[in-house]
Order: sequence, then structure tokens, then C-alpha cells
Amino acid sequence: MGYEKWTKELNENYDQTVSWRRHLHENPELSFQEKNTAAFIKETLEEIGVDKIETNVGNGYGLVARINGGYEGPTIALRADFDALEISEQADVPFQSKNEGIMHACGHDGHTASLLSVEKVLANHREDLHGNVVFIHQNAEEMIPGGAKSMVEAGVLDDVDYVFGIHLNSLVDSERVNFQPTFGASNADFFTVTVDSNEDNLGDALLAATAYLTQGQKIASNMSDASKPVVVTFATVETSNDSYLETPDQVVLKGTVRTLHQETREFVMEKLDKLAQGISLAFDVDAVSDYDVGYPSIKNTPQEVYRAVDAFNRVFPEEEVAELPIGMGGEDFSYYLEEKPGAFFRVGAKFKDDDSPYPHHHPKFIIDESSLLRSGQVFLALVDEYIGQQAN
Amino acid sequence: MSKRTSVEWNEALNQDGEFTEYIVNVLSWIENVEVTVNDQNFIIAATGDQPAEIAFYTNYPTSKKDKQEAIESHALFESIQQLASENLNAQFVFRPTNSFDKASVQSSFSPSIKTVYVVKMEKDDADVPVYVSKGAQIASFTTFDINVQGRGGHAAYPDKTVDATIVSAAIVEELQQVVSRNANPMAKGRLMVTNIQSGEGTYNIIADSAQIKGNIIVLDDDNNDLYKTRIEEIATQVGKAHNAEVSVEFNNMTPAVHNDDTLVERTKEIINHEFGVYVHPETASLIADPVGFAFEETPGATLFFNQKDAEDIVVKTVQAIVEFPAEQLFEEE
Repeated sequence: MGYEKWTKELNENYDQTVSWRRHLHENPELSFQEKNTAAFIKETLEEIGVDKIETNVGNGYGLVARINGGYEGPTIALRADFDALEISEQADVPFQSKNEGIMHACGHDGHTASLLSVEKVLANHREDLHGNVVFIHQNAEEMIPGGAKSMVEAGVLDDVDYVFGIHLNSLVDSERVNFQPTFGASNADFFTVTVDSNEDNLGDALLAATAYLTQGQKIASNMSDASKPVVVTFATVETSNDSYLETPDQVVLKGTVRTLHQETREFVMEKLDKLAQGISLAFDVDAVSDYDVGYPSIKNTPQEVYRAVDAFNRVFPEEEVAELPIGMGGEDFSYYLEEKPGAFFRVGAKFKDDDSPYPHHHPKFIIDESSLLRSGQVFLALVDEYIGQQAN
Repeated sequence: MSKRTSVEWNEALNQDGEFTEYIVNVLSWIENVEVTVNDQNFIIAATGDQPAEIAFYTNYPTSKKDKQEAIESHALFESIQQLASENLNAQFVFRPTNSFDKASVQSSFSPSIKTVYVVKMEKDDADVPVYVSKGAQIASFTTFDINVQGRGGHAAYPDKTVDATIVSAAIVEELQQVVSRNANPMAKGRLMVTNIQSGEGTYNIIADSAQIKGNIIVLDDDNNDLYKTRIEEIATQVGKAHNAEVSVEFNNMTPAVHNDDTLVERTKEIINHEFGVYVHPETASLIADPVGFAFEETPGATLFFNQKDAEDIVVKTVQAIVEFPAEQLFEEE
């Protein structure tokens, strides 16, 4: 069978997949600045020998590759992102980031390496395919506006029938494959609250900001509809000076809001604004909330989810494929699913003997690299299901 | 000198200029004044041709925000001119507001100095022209650093993290009770949080750690100890409640300034003789000042002046003190 043949080759290429991943891990680049990463991907794709490569697709360094099958059939798209985060790496690995203050702390290096490994296999077995595969190497997933929407607008899905993506999960045992029939990720919005202590008011901007931080917790804890999930996170506090003597004139709070439902999203937006007004009055400061609507929630196509799960159950042990409760992570993969049917899956990446794994976006985030193999297998299972021998 | 100096002084105040240079230039216009500047930009002016036994100390501004200091230093310019014209011996020390260096404070005063008077301005609505009182007059200044160690992670999964930003905010909220609930309301003091840093500038990463900075300003050691004890207790226990590790460090920057009781009584007599007899209000300043280091070696007193007509009052007071026999300043009645 095609899948068996493909995964045998995937296994044989495992060391190379790992070396691609580690190269990417050592050389992370921030969203919209992934010039060298894109160049590396392009060079690798040229060595692999795909049928077509397009570069600078969309609003940044995104690439699209294509392998045309030996037979006519549908076209499926597989997507992996390749941007990194502004984090100083503390993971104890011999291939630590060489770019100070930047780290692949969400697994995008693994996604990209896995997709390249699949491209390599399928480039050698075009004749097996009853259809075509489009490979979306996407930039800037971590930073609004993201890369997905612009790549969709650039036409990457124009002749695509189905689109799939995966995400590694450092909190779940490696080799597990998780799915969600409905919501795959939340609405992911961002906000900035600026608190100014102007000369006229002489208010304490720092005290006002801490009050905002603590009172802001109540939006999620007690004010919103308890049946609808919501997360309000303050990620950064920045002050206009660094002194032991004087309080700052300005404090800036940055954060994110995660919701599943539009009405909850609008509720939180309004509350952040009202809290700013109240804090301004109470503390004699000028507090302003600035809300940026971000990625919409991922809405998987249930029919394709279950079709894919059937495919996974044919090739993976039953206990390794499971439904995952909805989480509040955001992902701009949602834009692809607004255009075409498909689904987004999670692949476990935790070392099985690790009782206290670090979450994504943590300076000590690590993955079990056997998950690269499982990610490749997931992609290949999907290809086999939709345009491989299994499809026919 | 006054009109010209006032206009140019106001112009200088509106620029972030070289205040040190400006003051030295102004003082250099006055005849019979020796002016020096040390490596910490303390400006020292000496009048008279004999070593002075009495010194007057104040602060000069280093930015446009230092309006109080601008008034204080300007008020002494007239005194310097007056004493210089009469060849009276005195020393004047102007400290830059951004210096807390102990050695610089102590070395600014000549070995001949037996008494240091600190010049401070009060509000326009003070009922008396100048006053002095016993006890602590200028607060001690202690800084604190609180480090909050949480567990960072993805902003969408707060349940997998210990959010250092929220813990630090909770600590700041609870620290308010040190002043409002723990300290004696009659004991003047202040706890100020001056900085919080958390996160690396992102929107979607829960901070792994946060740092809080601030200061304690109190008038005596007992209260300083109380504040420090409570800050440590509150910070660590709030941290513990949130599963965060919290550490606290203190740095005693400047001691409190206590007036010499005998000197206070003599000074009141001098003031009363000059301006008439009145009740001197009990007061104290909660502005940090390293002059306490000078008081460790030399006894002194803090003079509070009404800002209204400050120059005239300062000139009269300074001259009256300098003309008073120095050996009698510490004689008890």
C-alpha cells in the first residue's frame, strides 16, 4: 500500500528530518522577519524536487510548493508554519537558539521539518497519487495579522479541495494524535491598555495599572457568561521609567483575549474599555484600552474530521487517537477553513517520562522529536485517504 | 542681581540644560566667593576669608521637574551675596538631586564646619516665615526589589502557568496595607512602588517572572524595620498563595535626619529675635535626602521656610545665624 511504502521511507529519512528541525531551531526568526528560514525551506524544496515553488506568497516570506500526482483527482493542501517567538531560550538542548532573544517555543520548527519530510517522500512517489498536493509553508502565524489570511487572498487555495494542518502539543505524550470535531482553536484578540499620569491629575499610573490588572481578572472570573469559555491574559507590563524614586508617568499593559463565541468576544472588549474609564476616574489618570480583533476561531469541518480520524485509526494504535477537549489557543489556520473544508489536528510531543512538561511559549519548551515522525505519518495518512491508494 | 538672576533662572528651568554649570556661573558673578565642584557635581561655595564653622545645605535641580529644589537653591544665592559683601564666613553646599553618594555628602563639608543647617521650602500657606523643630526632620530612604518567579507559558492556557504579572499586581495591591493598616497613623511614612517589569513585550506569552521596585520613606528606624518586615511577609505570602517564589531585597540608601535638640533651641531664639516670637510648628519632610550622612559627623538642624518672600527671609535668617557666636549654638540654657 502507498501509505506503508511512504512511511517506510519517512522512517529512513528520520535523521534528516531531525537535522532540518534542529537547524531551524538554532536559527529562529520572528514573524515577518523569516528571511533566512524561507530561504532554507526553498533550498530544501529545490533539493527535494517538487514540481513548483512559489516564494513571497502573501504578506511576507510564505512559500507554496506543489506536487502533481500521476493521476487526476482532488487537490489537498497541507500547512506548516515557520515563525518563532520573542523568548530567550532556557531549554537544555545542544542545539539552542543562536539568535539572542528569539526561540522556536511553539513547535513551528517541528511542523516545518515534518512537512519537508512528507514533501521528500511524495516527490519520490508522485505516481501513487490520484490528485495533487499543495504544501503551504506559512509565515508569521504568531503575530497579527498573521500570514494565513494573506496567503488565502493570494490564492493558495484556489484549486484546493481540502486543507489540513497540524500542531505539536508539548503537554500530550508523543505519538498521540488528537482531534476536535468542532472548535479547533479560539478567537485570539490582543489589547493594549495605556495608563498615563498627566501633570494635571498627578495620579499614580502604576497603582492605577495594578488595580486594572487585578480588577481585570473579574471579567473572566465573574462577569462573563460562565457557560462560554473566556481567557483574559496580561502578558506584559511596561513602564516609562526605571527608578526607585519616582513612579512612572506611563504604564502600558499588553495582553490577549481568547473566546469561542462572538458575543463573549464583544462583551470582553466592552468591559476592558469600561474598566479603563472607571480606573481613570478613581485614580485621576488617563487609562485607554485599545482592542485589536485577531484570528477567528478554528471551525473544523466535522465530516472531514471524522473521515480523517477513520484514516488515523487504520494506521495508528487505537489508544493513540483521541478527541481533545477544546483549548483556548489561537491559530490563523482558521482562515483556511473559512475557505475550504478540512481540519486541524494536534500531535503529542511530550516525552513520555516527563511528569512536568513545559507549555508552549515557555523558555524551556522542548519536544520529543519522535513526534516529527508521527506528524509526517499524519500528513501521509491524510494524503493516502484523500488522493492515495486508500482513496481509490 | 535678583531681577536678572530670576529671569535667567526661569529660562534655565524651562530647558533640560546643564544646571550645574548655570549655578556655578551665577555664583561666580558674586565677588569674594570661592566656588568648587566635586566629582559628583556637588557645588560648594565659601564666603569670608576665614574657615567657616557653619554650613548651609540644600538641593539644586537636575531636571525641569525639580521645581522645589529650584526655589530652595535660588533662595540661597541672595544669602551668599549678602554674606560675601560683609565678609562673613559660611559655607554653602548644593547637592544635585540625583546623587545619594555618602562620601560626596560628607566630603563636601570642610573640616572646620561645626554645624550644618538644611534649607527646605514649605508651602506658601505656612503661617510663619521660618521654623525649626526637634526630632526627625527628613526621612530615611530605603529601596526594595521584589522578584516574582512564576511559570510562564502560552497566554491561552493560564491554567498551565503561574502568572508572574498577576502575582506582582496582587503584591502591590496588598502592600498598600502596610501604610493603611500596619503603621501607626501618626507616624509619617510612605511606601511607594515605583516600577513593575514583566513580560518581554509580547501579547501572548504569560510572563515567567516579574520585578517590582520601590522605596520606603520613614522618620525612624523602628518604622523602617516594620515596613521592611511587612513588605517581606506580604510579598512572600502572596507569592506562596499563587504558587510563585518571591524574594525581597532591601538597600538602606540614606538615614533619617534628626535635629540636634540644643541647636534647635538656640536657633529658635535666633529666629524669634529676628522675626518676633511665635510657635514653631512640628513638621518633617518625606523627601529623601542624603544629608543625614553629614549629620552622622556633624550636628545640625533643618530649617523650613515659607516659600512666600523666601529670598528675603532666607537672607535674614542665614545672616542672623552666621552672626550668632558659633560657640554658643550648643550651650544649654
